[in-house]
Amino acid sequence: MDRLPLADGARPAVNATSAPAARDLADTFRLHHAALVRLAVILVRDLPTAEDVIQDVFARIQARPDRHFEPGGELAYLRVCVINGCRSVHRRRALLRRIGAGRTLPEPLAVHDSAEDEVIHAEERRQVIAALAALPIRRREVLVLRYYLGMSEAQIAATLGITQGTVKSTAARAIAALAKQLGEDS
Amino acid sequence: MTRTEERLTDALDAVGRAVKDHDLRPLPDHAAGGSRQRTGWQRWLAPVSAAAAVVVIASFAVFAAFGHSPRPPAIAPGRIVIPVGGYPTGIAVDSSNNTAYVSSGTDGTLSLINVLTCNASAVDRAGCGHAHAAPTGGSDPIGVAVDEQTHTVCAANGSSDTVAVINAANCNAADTSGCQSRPVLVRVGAEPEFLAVDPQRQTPFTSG
Repeated sequence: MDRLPLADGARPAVNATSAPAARDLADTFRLHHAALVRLAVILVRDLPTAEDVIQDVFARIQARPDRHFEPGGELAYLRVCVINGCRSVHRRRALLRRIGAGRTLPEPLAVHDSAEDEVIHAEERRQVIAALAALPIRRREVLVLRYYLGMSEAQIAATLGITQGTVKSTAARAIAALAKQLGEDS
Repeated sequence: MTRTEERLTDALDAVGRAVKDHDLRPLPDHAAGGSRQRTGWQRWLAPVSAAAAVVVIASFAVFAAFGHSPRPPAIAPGRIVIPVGGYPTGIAVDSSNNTAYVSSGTDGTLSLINVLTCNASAVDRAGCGHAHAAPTGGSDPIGVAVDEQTHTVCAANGSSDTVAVINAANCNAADTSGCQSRPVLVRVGAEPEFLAVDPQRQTPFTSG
């Protein structure tokens, strides 16, 4: 396990699981807390909810200290927990929309940098994130794992519990759908 | 890498950079159980939805009592709020064992309420203070249905694509001995939400 804390805002290293194992899962969690929050923010689109997801995962880990893992598999496990937590958020949001309470959902996290010359880029990024959010959950997860965490097809397959073939086809369809929404050629 | 892939990578990185370490809520040292805090929409949504889903016994019962009798009401007007697990959504009552089952989405449990000691006419509301929790063996339990003939409680685990089948005979407000064992799980279609039981055929149906 990579014991070095990630720099502020840094992209998490996908091969972090190859380093020596952390003392326990909670330590691993604390070590990668910020990176896991960022992953959750990308999936649920607002910081307070992402932090709730992370805190719930942490609480469950604390409640079951006897859980055992393969050496080096802690971070992968935590990512699965976070992804599952984010899925639950989407499930609840979908339910809220269905019963007419959708207007109560939080505003998504602003995607912009503070520098004025980033305004144009920020608008373009908002379009991309909005298009990503419109994709089905599975497609969104595959794209985030592939293009944010930089995972291989095999790693994504192991994380999501699907075959590599499904990862490949899902990613291809997701990129095509994204390109179509953005008016581009995929 | 295509233009779309480049834009996607750039946008995802930007979201990640927007989350600064110093803005993050620190993790508690002991986060287990009910000590964890919620912020944002869950902070107020949970109690609001809880208030909607738990047994809310309003003053209409008092007014109904007035309508049929000149006696003063046995209980003061108002409502009783029963604490249950997080994000309660579904509720079903098994009148044969006097138990209301409330699904708690964020906890993955059913909260059991004794309707004998916690109801609209009960002067003693001791039964309203604590609801026993029975795990549903899956994530995001939403809908709940009861088959009183077979003493079976079904709960749709929305994020696990399963329906938990719980034996209400030994998992009810008076007898919780069977509540902690893992329920029978029936795999169903994607994202089941609500349930209904056909009492004639003793068959649960789920929508998703």
